[in-house]
Amino acid sequence: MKILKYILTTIISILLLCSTEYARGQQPQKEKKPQRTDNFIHMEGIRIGTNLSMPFQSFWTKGDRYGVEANVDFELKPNLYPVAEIGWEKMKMDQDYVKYNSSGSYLRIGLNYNLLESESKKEKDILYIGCRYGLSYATQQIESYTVNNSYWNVENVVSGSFPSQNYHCQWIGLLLGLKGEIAKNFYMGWAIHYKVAVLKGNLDMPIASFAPGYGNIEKGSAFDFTYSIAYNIPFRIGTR
Amino acid sequence: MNHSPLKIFFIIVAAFSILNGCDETFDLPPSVYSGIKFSYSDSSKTTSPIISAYGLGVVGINGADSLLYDSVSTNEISVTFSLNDSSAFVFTIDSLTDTLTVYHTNTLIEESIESGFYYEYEITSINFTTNRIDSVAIPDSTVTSVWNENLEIYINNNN
Repeated sequence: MKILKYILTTIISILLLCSTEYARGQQPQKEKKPQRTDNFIHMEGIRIGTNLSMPFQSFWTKGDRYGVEANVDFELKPNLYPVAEIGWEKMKMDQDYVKYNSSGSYLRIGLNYNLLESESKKEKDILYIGCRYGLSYATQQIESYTVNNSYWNVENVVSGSFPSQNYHCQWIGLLLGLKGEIAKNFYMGWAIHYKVAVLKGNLDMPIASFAPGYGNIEKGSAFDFTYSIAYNIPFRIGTR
Repeated sequence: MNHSPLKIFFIIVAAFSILNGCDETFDLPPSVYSGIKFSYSDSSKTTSPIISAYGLGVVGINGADSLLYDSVSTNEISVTFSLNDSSAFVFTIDSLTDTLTVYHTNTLIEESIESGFYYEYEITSINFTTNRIDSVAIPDSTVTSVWNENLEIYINNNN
């Protein structure tokens, strides 16, 4: 009797095991998504943009400063974007005791490095740090200046002007910025720049006061802000 | 790294919109004063003289000369030079009046494009009357935006 019970238990166990394996075999196989090899945020092709903040710089700088700027960048390696920015800028200072204007062209080149990663390929927003080398050629003129001594007589006033001067400046800078994809292939973003002038125009009197693409160069360093819009022209570069 | 760049983006834009309301202000160029020290020729006299001073030819309110100092007991005063090549001052020292004329060259200095220009001076020579003034020394002939003692007037003790 004991032997019969043992045989039945073994047969039932085998049948249950077989039926479980059969049922598992009948389930449809789920499609496995191809695993991403990395979480890098990629951009194909090149991104061409313009600096929208150029006409509004008097909001955060002194004087009447405006201009135009075009910029281009692309993904050289994951997270690494070479950048070139070219522009023209003018600055006017019109006060009772000095009337000044300066204008010229500039070029900034450098690299941006993206700090973000994403599990979704659709995520295109980047937060980046960057470095720049800048070079500008400009012409400045002091149209008029006035010096007076309020204690001595009213006619104790000296006025004059200086002819136009040509000069060039160079600087290096660091920046922190964001670029967000607001519509397919359209990006908008801002960046805060910190710049240090390394060559400030070799002028005696008056000194070079403004460098296009940099700002006021009378002080050795400057903060600046850019607000840009850009379009990504997608195409594959190399075999990535 | 968790992120929402567009949210930060719009916050920053809002911040700059607020900054837009700020007024633009410009700093004035620095003031340049020449320091003048008064000393008694008799070094044993330690009290301070009573000084009144004004620029010769400066016309103040109601035609009166414009006083820089009015009967002040002091050993040191500051005066500003004219933009011409000489500046004349009238001093009343312990009730007696003298005139001091300072001849100087003027150098135009650019403070900044925001503040404009001002003059610094180099004292080349002096002239003075001797009712109370005994002599005048020039310890430092360069008058800059950094205050300095440029002239020292020695007062005679005939009182």
